[in-house]
Amino acid sequence: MMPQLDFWAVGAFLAVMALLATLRQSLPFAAAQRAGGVIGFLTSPIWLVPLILAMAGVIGLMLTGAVSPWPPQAQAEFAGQFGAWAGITGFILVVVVDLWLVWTPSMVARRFVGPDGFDAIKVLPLFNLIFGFAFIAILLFVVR
Amino acid sequence: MDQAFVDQLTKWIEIYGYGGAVLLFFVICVEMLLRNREGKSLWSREGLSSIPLFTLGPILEGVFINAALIGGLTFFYNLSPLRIPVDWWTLPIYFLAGEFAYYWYHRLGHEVRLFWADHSIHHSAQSYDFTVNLRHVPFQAIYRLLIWIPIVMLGFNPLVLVLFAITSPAFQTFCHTTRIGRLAPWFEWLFVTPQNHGVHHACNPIYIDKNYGGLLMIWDHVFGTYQRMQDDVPPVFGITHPLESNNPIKVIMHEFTPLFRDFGAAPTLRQKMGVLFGRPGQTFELPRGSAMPGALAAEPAE
Repeated sequence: MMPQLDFWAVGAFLAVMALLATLRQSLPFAAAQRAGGVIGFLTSPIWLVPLILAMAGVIGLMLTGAVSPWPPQAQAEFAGQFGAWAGITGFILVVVVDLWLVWTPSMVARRFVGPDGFDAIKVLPLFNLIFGFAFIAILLFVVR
Repeated sequence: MDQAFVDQLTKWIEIYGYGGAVLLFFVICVEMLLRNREGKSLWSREGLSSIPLFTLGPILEGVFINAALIGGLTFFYNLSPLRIPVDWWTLPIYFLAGEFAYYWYHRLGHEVRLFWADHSIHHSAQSYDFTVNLRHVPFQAIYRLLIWIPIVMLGFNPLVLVLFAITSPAFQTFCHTTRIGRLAPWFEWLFVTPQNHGVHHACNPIYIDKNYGGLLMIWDHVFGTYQRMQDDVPPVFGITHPLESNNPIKVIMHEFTPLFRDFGAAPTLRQKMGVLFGRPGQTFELPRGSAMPGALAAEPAE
């Protein structure tokens, strides 16, 4: 049975849209292609705007130990405090933030880097992976 | 204000600050990595000189000045009978008001000489990379307060405004780079991007005093200060009176010293006030010792 709609249901919707947009930005071949119609709408970078607040906020919550970087755990923590829709929102938001921590920035950079910087930036995905996983490991094994 | 709400929001501002610090650490690491890949030293001298200035942000501003800012704004908020509720449907209004406040506070930082002496510290770097994020300024809360008092008197909750205000520097963390080219045209029109903010940091006459927005460019479009980066005008980063030192004390005093000197030398009270509150480059000014070689034609600071 679907939980009763509340403020967090709007959050869950925005989080799903941010996830779709993030997935597109994470795949350079998908991001580079012109997408119109429904796909273009669903994966538009405009859906990344809420992340301006959510990204630093969720990372801050992770750092204080209030939220786990492991999505199922985050889902349980959000749901336990604020209800089912909050759990869904928390799960998706943590997936989005994890993606941005380990992968997406390097793909966005690769897409928009100028010709002079392309050689230097080749190593960025590896760095992004190491930085992201190291940070998540610290959160999982030290902070929590 | 409800104390529980104040506590909750203050906590959220703190949490957001932690997250922002991680993102800043990430981009500084990226800068070092890319410099290494480009065959340069990990840190430029200029980048190193920005590190001591960073303490002006998290310590001086984050701990003391923001508390004073919130305290001052709350005082004026409590004087006003007007209230704009903090609800999901008012958040876009808060966001736009926060952007409006950011735009004018930032514009004041460029167009009033006293405030420019402070804000120019951030702009004094002649390279434009992620280390510029470390180049904080000490007194911005003062002119921020001046701009925000009328806004909180209209009933906007000061804590929510402060929360939105710190999103702008967090977002701009990613914009201090020349490595990212032009993004989609609609995105460049609407948002602060590396190119838009690069224009803001450039001292070419065409780019001076442009693109003040924090997250969005909309108020620049409204007030006519939007400038797209021109393909045929490569940006020259820095200020019109370039800083020829990496000494952090000299970086801080670079514009304050001539300001004090000009204030002392100005013959009339009107000119003295002009030195403080006039537009940079258009006030009484003694000749500077180290004029810019091949100086740009326009005098006003960016």
